[in-house]
Formats: sequence, C-alpha cells, structure tokens
Amino acid sequence: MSTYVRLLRHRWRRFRRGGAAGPARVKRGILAFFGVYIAGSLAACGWVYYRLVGEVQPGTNPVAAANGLMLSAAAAFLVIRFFTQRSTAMALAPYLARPVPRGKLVRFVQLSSLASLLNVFAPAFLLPLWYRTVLHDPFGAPAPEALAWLAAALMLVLFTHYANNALRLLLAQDARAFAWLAATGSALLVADRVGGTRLLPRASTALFGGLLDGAFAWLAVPAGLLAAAWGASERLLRRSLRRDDGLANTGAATVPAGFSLQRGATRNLMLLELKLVARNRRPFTLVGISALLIVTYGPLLVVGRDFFSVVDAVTGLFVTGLLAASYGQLMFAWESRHFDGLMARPVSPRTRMRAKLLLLQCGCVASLVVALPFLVWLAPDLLLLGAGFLLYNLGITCPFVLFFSLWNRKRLAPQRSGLFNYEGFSVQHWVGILPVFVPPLVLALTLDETWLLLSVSVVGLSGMALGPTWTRTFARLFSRHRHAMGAGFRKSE
Amino acid sequence: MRLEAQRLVKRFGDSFTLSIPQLVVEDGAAFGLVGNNGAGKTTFLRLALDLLPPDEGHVALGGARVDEGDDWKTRVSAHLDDSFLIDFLTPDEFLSFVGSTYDLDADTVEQRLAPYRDFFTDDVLGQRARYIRDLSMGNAKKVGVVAALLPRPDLLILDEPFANLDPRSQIQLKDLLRRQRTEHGTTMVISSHDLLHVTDVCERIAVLDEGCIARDEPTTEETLKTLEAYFSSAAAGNGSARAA
Repeated sequence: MSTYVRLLRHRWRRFRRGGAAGPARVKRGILAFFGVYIAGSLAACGWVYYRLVGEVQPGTNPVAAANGLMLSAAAAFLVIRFFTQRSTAMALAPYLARPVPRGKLVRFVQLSSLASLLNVFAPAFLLPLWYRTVLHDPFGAPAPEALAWLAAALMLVLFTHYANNALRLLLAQDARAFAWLAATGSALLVADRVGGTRLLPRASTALFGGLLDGAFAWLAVPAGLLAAAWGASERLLRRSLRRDDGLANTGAATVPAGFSLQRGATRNLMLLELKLVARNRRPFTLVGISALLIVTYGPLLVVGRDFFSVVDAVTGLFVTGLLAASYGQLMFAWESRHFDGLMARPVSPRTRMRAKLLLLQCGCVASLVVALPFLVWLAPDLLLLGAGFLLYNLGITCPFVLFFSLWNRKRLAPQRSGLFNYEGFSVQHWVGILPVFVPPLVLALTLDETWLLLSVSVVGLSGMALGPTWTRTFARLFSRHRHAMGAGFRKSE
Repeated sequence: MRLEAQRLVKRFGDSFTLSIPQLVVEDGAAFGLVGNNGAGKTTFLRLALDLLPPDEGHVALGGARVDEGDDWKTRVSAHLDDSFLIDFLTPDEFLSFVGSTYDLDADTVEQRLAPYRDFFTDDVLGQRARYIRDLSMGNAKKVGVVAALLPRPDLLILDEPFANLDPRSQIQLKDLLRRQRTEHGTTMVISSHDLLHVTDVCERIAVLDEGCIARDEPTTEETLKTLEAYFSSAAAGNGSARAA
C-alpha cells in the first residue's frame, strides 16, 4: 500500500507545484472556470432532459429515448475522448527509472488516469438525468432497477475511459492494428446506421430497458465491457513498459525512411507536413476536431436549411473549408521548431509554398470525402453546391489562408496537448479570415442557388488557374518575411 | 568554398553589437571560432547562413552574397542547434529527408551513412529507432552533425559540435571532420567552447570577444596554451580579455 501512497503523494505534488507559478496558475484557473461552466451546463441539460425530449419529440417516453441512445452516446464519447484525452503512457515516464514495482505502477497509472475532466462531465450530465427522469415519476422506475440503470451507465463511462486508453496505446505500439480496428469499428457503425439494421440502438434498448424491467443479469454486459477494456489497457500499458526497457537491446536495421528523390521535393515536403500532423498532439487534435466538427455539425447545418436558405452556403463553405482555415492559419508556425534548419537547406521558397498550398487543397478534398456520406444521405441536392464551394475553397480559401500565415511569428510547441490550447491564435486570425468567408455568404443572400453555384465555381476555378502565380507571389513574400519569421520562432516557447 | 564577411555589423538594441570589419576564410581551410557565452559566435554563424539580416555589411559564400540568392545553399551544410533537427522524425527519416534536399537518392544516402554508423551507439538508427525528440542530447547532436556531413558540402558550418558528446564520440568526431576535409576538401567553420578539440581540428583560430574579433591566428603547438592564458586572464579580470 505504501507504494501507492508514495506515488499518489508524488502525483499530488506535481499537480500542486505545476500550477504554482504565474501563467500556469492563471491557465489552471481559466480551465477550472470553464470546467465548472461546462459541467454546470451539462448538469442543467441532464436535469431538464425529459422536457427537452418532450419539446423535440412530443409524446415520446424520455426514458425509452435515453435507453435507445446510451450505446450510441458511449461510442461518440469514446471518439471525443480519443481526440482530447491524454495517453496513459505519458504518465509512466517519470517513474520508469525508479525502483517502483511494475505491476503496482501500471495499476496506479490505470486508476490515476481517471482524474480527467471528461470523467466529471459525463456523470455531471447522467446523474441529474437519472435522478429526474429515471428515478422519479412520471417516467420513473423502482429504486433498485433505477440504481442498476445508473450503475450500467457509469460502467459505460468507465468503459469508454479504458477503451480510449487501450486505443491510444495500441496506436503508439501497432499503428496498423489500430487502423484495422478503427476502420472495422467505424464501418460497422456506419453500416448499422445506413443499412437500417439499427443493432446498436436496439441492443441499447434491450440492455437499459431490461435493467429497468428488473433483469439485473444485463449488468453483466457493461461489466464485461469494462473488464475487457481495463484488461486491454493494462496489457498494452505493460507492453509499453517492456518496449521502453527493451529498446536499448534491439539491433539496428535499416527502415525505409519515406523520403526519396523520386518522390520529388514538393511531395517530400508534403509528406513531412503529414508526419508533423500525425506525430504531434496539437495539429493531430486540431485536424481530428475539425473532422469531428464536419461530421457532427455538417448534418446539423443540413437539417437547419429548412429554416434559413443561407445555411446551404454555410454548409458548402464549412464542410470543405474548415480544415484548411483552422490548420492553415498556423501553416508556418507549425514548423517553427525546425524553421532555421529548413531555411539553411536547399529548399526553394517556391517549392515550400507549392507543397503547403497543395496540402491545404488536399485537406479540402479530404474534408469532402469525410462529409460525403452525410451529404449523400441527408441532402443529396446539396452535392452540386458543395462541389462549387469546394472549388471556391481550393482556389480562394487555401491561397488566402496561406498568404495570411506568412505573418506567423510565434513559436509553437506542436507536441503539446491540443485541448484548450490556442497558442499562436489571436483575434486577428479570425478577423483576417472574414474576407474569404463573408463574400460568398453575401452572394448567398442576394443570388438564387444557380447563380450562387456559378459565381463561386467561376471564382474558385479562376483562383485555381492562378495557382502558379500564387506560389510565385507567396515565395517572394516569404523571402521578404523570412528573417522576421525566424526571429519570432527563435524566441522561447 | 570561400567565406567572406565585409563590414559586418549586427546590433541587438544597446546591449550587444557584433562588428567584424573583415573576415576571410579561404577555400579548403578549417577555421575555428572560440569565445565566451554571448561573444557572438552563433550570431556570426546565423549571419553567414542568412538566418539573420545584418544591419550593415554582408557575408558572401563562394563569391555570392547570401542575402541575394539561394544557390549557395546546395554547397553549404550546417548544424547550429536543435532547430536544425526535425524532432518528430526518426534519425533515418531525418537523414533521408536531408539527403533528398541535396538531391541524394536513397542508395547514396545509405552508402554515405556507412562510415558514420560506428559513430552511433545504442539504437539511434534502425527499425526500432525512436523519434529525435526522444533521443539523448548527445545522440541528437550526433544526428545533426552527421546530417550536416552527409551532403559532403563545400562549406561545413558547425556550432558547438563537441558539446554533449561523450569522450569516445568527441574523438570519433574529430577524426570524421579531418577525413571530411582530406577526402572532400571541405571548408569548415567550427565554433566551440572546447579549446582542445577546436585546436586539434582547425588550422586557424579566431577569438570572438564581446562581438569583435580579438585574435585571429594560425594554429600552432602553442595555440592551446595561448588561448588558455587568454581566457584565464578574462576570468581573473572583468570578463573581457581583449586587453590581455
């Protein structure tokens, strides 16, 4: 037991002393404020959940609606955790060189990883919902059944926590296995939805409805899921310990490094930037959240078009332009840590500009691919306008965002967490993007859909045709700004 | 490749000014730059690589002013600090990337890496290699220096190449630098705090003191003693040793 107490004491000291200094303390205070605000908002939503259901779907039993949604919500929560929650492997690092028994260390990390805001947010929503809707009349169940329902819901929350830990560790240890698992899981979820089988909602209804009917054996399902996730997380955590211990003994063998002359300088620079995104937490989170927003808000915008005609234009702009606008604003700041190294090597400014512009444009196309199933499913008539706005984003948004990023001067730490991290962003970034996004929205208010489609497509195609001119101009500007950029990036993080 | 600085001035407010009226490093020479912290060594190297704009004067490499074009970059290679590494790549990926920027294909990179493999201990290169950001400072330094040597440049610029290296690696590095110069005629500009190593490698040493070149002499058997005496007098006095 004393090992756990020592570890706990160490963790507490780190937490306390980490926030003792000025900016860190302020940051922690701001985080705490928003944490309380979000938890309070969620608690309020949970409290009035049955009224919300009554407003949105009159006549629907809110408990039955909740029962059907629980497993889908758990799947969505797992995705949110994946993009926002720290990996447990990072918590191991301070203790690896210490004489701490490995088994106890792993169990401690497993348990202490529960100290996450997301584990506060979920119960903050669930507990009021359970109290007002599941436990109390008019929809309420008897206390033992309601308690079983709550236990199952909380076990699902814990399941998502440990499943996320396991997934993050798997990604670090075996990216191919992770890709297969993620692709299979996503494909099954999409097939279930699109194919109309709706197995997940039905299983959810069976599980939570069964518990409220007194069939307590259903508790074995969330308990089993939780045990499996805990086991997988523990096993992968132990494996990550062994990997770290064993690294020094492995022999050197050449690996294909990925960069080659045959690929060409532009493609090598694009590959470098893709590796930057994939291997650094902040750009990875930013791209992930953009994809998530496209997936979640895209359909909401599509649904909202019944009320506002301009929503069509917002959807078109947003779906294919969001990723480029958010990632692209810091296009040079992302490489601030190795800016000098790139500047001193024979990489021509024009090649750099071409690579960055092409990468942003690829991001727009990839965004459309992500959003395509929703567009086809919810608003196939929007596809043509979406294609028009894709051209606009390729020809106008991407060059403009790249142009704007030439004023990046602040060094970034891309390896740091991306959650609540706005380092490098300022109001001017968002104000600066307005000249790109406002004109098409004004056109959407004044023109009918055919003329809007024609306008944005022609403007976009013209912008694309000017591609070589953009890169030449930006290269000249980059050469003019290079010393100011380097001076800013050289300042400490 | 000849390095020439003419009437070079770089000011950082009122606190520091680098001023070098004239400095020429002839083609094929090995030039050492020593000085205390803050003397202006790294500033000079950054000016030479066009990473900083001079307030006055200019630097020319191979006859071309560095601020007037990029052609010189294909003949020059450098490692100044961590910003010359790309920390989210593995060393293999980084060396491959650096090679590709100098138009070296994968086979050539492999072939050129062969003499440096003994320089790396542990598992810095290979299948289970970690990202550069996870390497020790010494191993990361080795990756940076080898990346600078890889293109077999006409001019090699290194800042503190011996720092953070273990004694064995320091000796290996001196040998690698000598071979680079003998076999490929590389001009070298090396800044270092390590008087012993820099006098071993360089045939000419300049002392930079508070932004000015205080001494600039060919290396002889007496150079190490002279430099030690120079910096001892600085330690005994008020910091600057120019009067010594």
